[in-house]
Amino acid sequence: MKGFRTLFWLEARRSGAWALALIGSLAFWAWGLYQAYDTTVGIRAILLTMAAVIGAIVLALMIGRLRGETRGGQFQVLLLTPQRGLTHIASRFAFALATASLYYIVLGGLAWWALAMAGGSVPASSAAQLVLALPLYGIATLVAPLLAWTLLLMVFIAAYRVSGTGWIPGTVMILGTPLALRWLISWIDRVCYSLPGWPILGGLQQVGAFVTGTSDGVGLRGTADGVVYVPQEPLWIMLALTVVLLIVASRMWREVEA
Amino acid sequence: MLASLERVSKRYARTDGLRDLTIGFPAGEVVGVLGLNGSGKSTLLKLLAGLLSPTSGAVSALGDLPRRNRGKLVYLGENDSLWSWMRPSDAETFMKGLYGDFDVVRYRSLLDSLAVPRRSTKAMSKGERGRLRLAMALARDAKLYLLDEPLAGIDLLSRERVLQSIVREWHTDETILLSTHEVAEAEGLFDRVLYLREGRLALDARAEDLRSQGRSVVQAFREVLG
Amino acid sequence: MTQAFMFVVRALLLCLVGFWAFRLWIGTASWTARGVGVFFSAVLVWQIVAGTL
Repeated sequence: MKGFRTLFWLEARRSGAWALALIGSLAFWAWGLYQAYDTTVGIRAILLTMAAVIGAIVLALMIGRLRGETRGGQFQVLLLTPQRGLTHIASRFAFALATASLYYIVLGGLAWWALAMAGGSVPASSAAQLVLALPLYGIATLVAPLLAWTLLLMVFIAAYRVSGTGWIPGTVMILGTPLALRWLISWIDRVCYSLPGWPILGGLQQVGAFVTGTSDGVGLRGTADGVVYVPQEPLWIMLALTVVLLIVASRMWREVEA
Repeated sequence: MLASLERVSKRYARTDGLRDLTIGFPAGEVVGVLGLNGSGKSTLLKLLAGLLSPTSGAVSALGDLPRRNRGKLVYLGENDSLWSWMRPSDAETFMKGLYGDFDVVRYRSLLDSLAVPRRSTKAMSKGERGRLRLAMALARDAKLYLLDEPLAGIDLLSRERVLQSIVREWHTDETILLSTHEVAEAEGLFDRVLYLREGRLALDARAEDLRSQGRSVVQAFREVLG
Repeated sequence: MTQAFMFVVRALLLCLVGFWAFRLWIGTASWTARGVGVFFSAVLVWQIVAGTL
């Protein structure tokens, strides 16, 4: 635990500026939402989506700076420590996940504020789902696997640094990932709603009707009374994938040369 | 043997780092690893540290694969580096948290004796950064120290401080392998010298045997590798 | 004509990916990295062979 705490501290010192900048950028999105007060709900939805996507990209870049450390020699310093690969990987992942959780929960709060500005009255239970449950669902199904994949990519590239294989490892993994993901998504689509969906955002009839009219396969399902359902299969499958990616990255960490 | 290589070769993409090297290191020696650039000095030390795997042959350090004993040996690389924001106090937190054998009192004393400034590494000169890394390494209580070019690129006074610290901190049951191009300055330190040429062992000699033959380590260096 | 052209393109892509897989196999001491390299190379090969690339 002491090793994990120290590595988490190291990660916080390394990436703290990035994390603060990311959290601070929420002020920009809040300002944008406020400026969009007189526009349609769609504009505010686009702003929130952009904030979510850019946040994920910044988090991946933050965690992906391992490549610079490979060149700079810090990676070698870390490889020489007695801690297991899993401790190193988990500490980086934990910091990024903590930053992501804070970012997306605040973003959820901004979404609730945007709905309130649009005149929608949000019951307390739906507010809690909008601010907490949905962001955490999104983190578990999208952001966490992305972070784990980025860590794996960085360690995979580091594994070939000594042999001078250049851009081949990164290229193969980056080209192969969308294709592998396609299979995964089509499989998730097949099994979606085998288990009962989770009801969220009950009482938000505008949202429910919007989702009912536009959902198809993987994704939200809405009912006419405004209850939106999210499938639980993507959550479990993507969490399992995250764990697998982290374990593979950990094993590789201990085997790489520097 | 504290550490050994048995018929070890290490091949890189376009070059051979080491070729069929067999050598052992008992406890209590200070060994100079000498050679021209590209002779395999760093490769030898990295293999013993577990940072590289041999293409063929077997490497052992402290009775096991080097990778399994990473916490029990000290490696100070030429190219490893600290984070630019790190101060000596951050380095202390780092080492204390990750290494059970790190002696904080010894570390702080070494910072003073090596005149390491208390500012971030990005505000330090190369010599100051090197001295900080040496303080971190020597403050650990290990049996095997692998120092790759600790004197590289630093001024004369810093080099003297570094060598004095190594001498002061060494205990008779520890083994130090030190590679350097500053052969003349460091030769007084060595019990034994290894001369590597193109990945092979050109000469393995005890320093006092060389002196009894009327040769210094530097002279032998020139004869063997010149 | 188009089919022949696509056949040649796929054959060249297979050679390229095969070369990459070979480099990924020999370029590391890590068996885990070899496994990951083989996996993603196999994904690329399958997509080329199955004609969806």
